[in-house]
Amino acid sequence: MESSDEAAVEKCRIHLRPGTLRDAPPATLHLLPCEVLVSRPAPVGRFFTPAIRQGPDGLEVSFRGRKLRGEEVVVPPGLVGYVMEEKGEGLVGKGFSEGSSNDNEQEQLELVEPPEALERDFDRFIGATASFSGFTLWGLETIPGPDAKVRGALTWPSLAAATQNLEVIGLDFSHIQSASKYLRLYHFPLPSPLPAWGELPPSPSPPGTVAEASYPGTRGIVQKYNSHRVTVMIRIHQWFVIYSA
Amino acid sequence: MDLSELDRDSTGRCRLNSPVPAVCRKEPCILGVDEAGRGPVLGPMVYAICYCPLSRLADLEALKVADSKTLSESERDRLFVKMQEDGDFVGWALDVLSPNLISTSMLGRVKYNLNSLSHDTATGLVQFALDQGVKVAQVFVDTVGLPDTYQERLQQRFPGIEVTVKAKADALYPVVSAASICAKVARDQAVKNWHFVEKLQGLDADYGSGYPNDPKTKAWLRKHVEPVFGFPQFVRFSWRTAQSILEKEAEGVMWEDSLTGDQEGPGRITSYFSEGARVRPRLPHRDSKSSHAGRSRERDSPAGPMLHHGAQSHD
Repeated sequence: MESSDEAAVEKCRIHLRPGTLRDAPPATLHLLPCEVLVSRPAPVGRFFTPAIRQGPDGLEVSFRGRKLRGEEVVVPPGLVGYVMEEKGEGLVGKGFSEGSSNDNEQEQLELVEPPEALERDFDRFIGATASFSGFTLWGLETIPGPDAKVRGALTWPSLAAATQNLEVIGLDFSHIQSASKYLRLYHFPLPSPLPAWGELPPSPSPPGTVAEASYPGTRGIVQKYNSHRVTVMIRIHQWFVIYSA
Repeated sequence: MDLSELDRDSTGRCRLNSPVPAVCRKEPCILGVDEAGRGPVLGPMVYAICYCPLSRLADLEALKVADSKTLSESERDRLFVKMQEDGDFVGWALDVLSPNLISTSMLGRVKYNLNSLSHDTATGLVQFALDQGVKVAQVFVDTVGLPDTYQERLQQRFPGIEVTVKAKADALYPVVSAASICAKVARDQAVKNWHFVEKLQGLDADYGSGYPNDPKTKAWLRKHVEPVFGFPQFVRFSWRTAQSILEKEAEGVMWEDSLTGDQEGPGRITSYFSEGARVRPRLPHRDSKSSHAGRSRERDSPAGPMLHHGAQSHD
């Protein structure tokens, strides 16, 4: 892929469409202990939900003929979860307009406004498609339990709050199974592309890194922040979860 | 036969039994074990025991029970009714093992194969009869796997009982024939009245014999593939027929123990572990190529641990 990745590091801004946070309907979420090698809608309500049983040790279901055991995970107090999706290209940024083109225009105005003008191939947009206050975490044959890495990751918001001046921008769940990876904390702007597991920048730390910490199974981007607000964005592949407190 | 417990929940197993005839608690009994629905890719497997006092074996034979496979469905139903009528000396019990139980056993982290599942179920039923106070003296079993090892295992488990494990026992011993009739009647009834856990649309009830080599069954399987969930739980996912249809017609799924990769060849497993071969969506990443080609991640990139999003499901 030539050197286009390098160029992209310099040229990228992500904008959240705030209007989508207001309207995001509550969603029921299930986090499965497997990868489905595609991203597409699925008839969860017809195939999965009706098969869930309350067993002696918690929830039970099967997926593709394999037994899963699950439990509810609650979003930490004071926070709200959002399912975020990136839609639309650059400036045009369509895809989150639920109604008329008027809404769309209005949303354009609501953008977290960057100091510079929007540029094609430079600015990208994400918006919430749903909100949640918890989800069902499933393990293959065993209940994920208190040591589940997702649970560990969910403690990051309070860590960020405790360290002040830090903002957790992203926790990447995409390789939740690989336990020995490292979390690094970055200054803003975010490195782009976000390093994937196994591709984290080698030491010494990239310029702007304020702190580094390891956190098995998750990658967090913790960013210096100069207000009291703490925002956490958790990335579970294309599902983005933003916390705000 | 009252399979309402199975109707209420067809995801596990269900045991059903006749009252124990009083005479079976007093006199030494002969007990037969057989199964129905071991081979089909659809529906439950049923294990059954049937027993009567040794002194009344001739009366059981007089019912003209025979290997259930040689009887028509109506003959089996009639014989089962007769056995119920003779409930003063004939008793039975059965275990219905749902296809979901079979799938999850065979596809477990630690594989629990069908033979072991069968042996354990048969053993459990004999023990159940003993627990109910039946004076079991002799056990006859239609074999699963090698008869000698199976017999040895059962004999060790029940040292006080004379155990005979034989191929075709259902044709040789009337008490095993009777058990095979119980099992087959229950299996047929369960399949016919199957309560699908899923809310299916356009369900086709014509699934043929349920055996993998039946073209009708295969056609039914192909028709009812759901790209993400695979099949309804009525299907035994652990059957090669089911797996190969899923490989072709459903989305790939990777598990942490990569068990499903067993049938898929080493190529696909290694590609899972090689970082370069995977196209993973990254939020702020964008290269000039993909921005021109349009973002096609919806179609061609592997998803992470899948997060089902109920609000978006296209129900």
